[in-house]
Amino acid sequence: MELPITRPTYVSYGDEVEFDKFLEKLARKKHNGFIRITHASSEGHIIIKDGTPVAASYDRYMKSEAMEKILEIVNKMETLIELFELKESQIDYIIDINKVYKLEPSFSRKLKPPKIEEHPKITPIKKPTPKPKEPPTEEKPTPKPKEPPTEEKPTPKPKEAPGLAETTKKPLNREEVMKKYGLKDIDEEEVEKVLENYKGGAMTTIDIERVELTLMNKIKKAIIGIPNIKSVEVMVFLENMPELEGDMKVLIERENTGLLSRLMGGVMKEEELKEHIIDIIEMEIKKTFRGYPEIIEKFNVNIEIH
Amino acid sequence: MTRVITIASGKGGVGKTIVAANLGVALASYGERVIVLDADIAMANLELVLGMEGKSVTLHDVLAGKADIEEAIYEGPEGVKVVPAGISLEGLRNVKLERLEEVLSQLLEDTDILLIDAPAGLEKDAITALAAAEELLLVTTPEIPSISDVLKTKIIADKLDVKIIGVIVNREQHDKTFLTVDEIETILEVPVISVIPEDPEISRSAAFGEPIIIKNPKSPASNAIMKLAADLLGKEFHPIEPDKRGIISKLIAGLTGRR
Repeated sequence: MELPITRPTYVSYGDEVEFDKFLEKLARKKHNGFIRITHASSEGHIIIKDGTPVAASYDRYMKSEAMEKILEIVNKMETLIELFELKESQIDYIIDINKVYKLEPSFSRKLKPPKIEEHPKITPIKKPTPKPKEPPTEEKPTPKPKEPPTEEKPTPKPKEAPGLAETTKKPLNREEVMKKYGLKDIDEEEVEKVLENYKGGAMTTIDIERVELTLMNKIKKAIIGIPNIKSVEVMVFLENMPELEGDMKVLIERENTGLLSRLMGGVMKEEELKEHIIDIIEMEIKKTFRGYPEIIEKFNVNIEIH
Repeated sequence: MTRVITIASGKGGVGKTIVAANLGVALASYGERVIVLDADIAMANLELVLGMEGKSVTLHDVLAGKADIEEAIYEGPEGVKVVPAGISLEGLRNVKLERLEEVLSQLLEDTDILLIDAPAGLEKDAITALAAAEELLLVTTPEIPSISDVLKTKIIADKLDVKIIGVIVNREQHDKTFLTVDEIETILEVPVISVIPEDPEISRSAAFGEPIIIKNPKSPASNAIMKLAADLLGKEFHPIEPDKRGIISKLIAGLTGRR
């Protein structure tokens, strides 16, 4: 509930006050304000207009359900009751902004003391009809004050256990709430970007074997495209522990080239070929480990040309 | 079977580590064999919250390949086991996150629950902690920036197929400027399973390196955390009542040795 919490005009523990009598007193005084009820980590509020409870919330509960929950715990020793006063001019506004918690008129009537001057001894909740008092009798011997959602589910699985959302009856419109607070979902592209970054350097053992094979094939395919290369063998060994690094061995067999070709400059010299192959290898490594370019420094490449 | 639960928030400073530390101790107090691992290797402070700073071997050393995980496990309150991350920016350079998965698998033996305190944000370290989880607890405060960040974390977790247990709303205050529980549930599309009220005792207990559930078990925050632990285990929760005795009677009880 949205309430102006100021200094309470009255504070008491549940066992120190008879709540029905307390309500009766408020009814007599035609009190305008609200009561805050705190029990363990749960909190509830009852808005009182002209001495009559008109709206209630407790934990996840609303309206009459909240009122029933409050009545279950309100007389307990560990429950704290605080009374707050509101001006007559404020009360309607407060009720309006908390209208989702408004008690059904029938429930309000039940709680309202029926003509105090005629039946001075009748308390608002207790005597005339036992209905509103039913929840406390359900309480029985268990001292547990607030565990209704978990009680229903014997399974210890957390997702099923608390299920507090299920108890919230009033569904809000997500779009409206998001708009109200200027929030938006991150788009698919951004999600992919985040996950891409994550995948960059973290690899499992299974990944390593796959990457080794992929890298091997890519480099082999690229080298075989160079003119006058008869055959290529590429071996890649990746090590992920303690840090990601690799060893690569490339064995190349060249075709026999004639004197004329060599004189015409159509054949790369051994050093030139090695440099060219290293360029190819670096490019393939970079493509494979996108987002983790430092890996280049961690590769030991050995090229043998025959 | 070991449950691997990551506690993540998105935004830093929402009390995630304090929740992780206290929840770990709370779960251990119910008789579970619990390990809390601080995966926040850049801004480690689980050890500070639990009063365990200055340990010689930490997760840093394990991830750098300098130590075995067994050497980095320490016993904390209620028998909870703790793997501190180690507070050393110097050591951070050598840390290999790739090792985290292997480290986690070693921790699963003889453990009922492995709680991972994930780093804030969506950097690689945070995502690694998310991806390692089977289940996820999201921690947020009821403020817009926290909700905005936790929403991103939730979306990433969904993408990684991590089962989200629910949201813990920490430092809840009755202030109109904050989001309500209903609004938080609507935005995140995940149930709020615990609301921990704002409690200055929490900061105080963290400063003393003592979990609030031990330092002040009667506080509303302690009760909320104990209830959350009970819910996670499907156990019954009985709140610890606040002490209502007056100062005089407490004094008399103290003097006469009665508590």
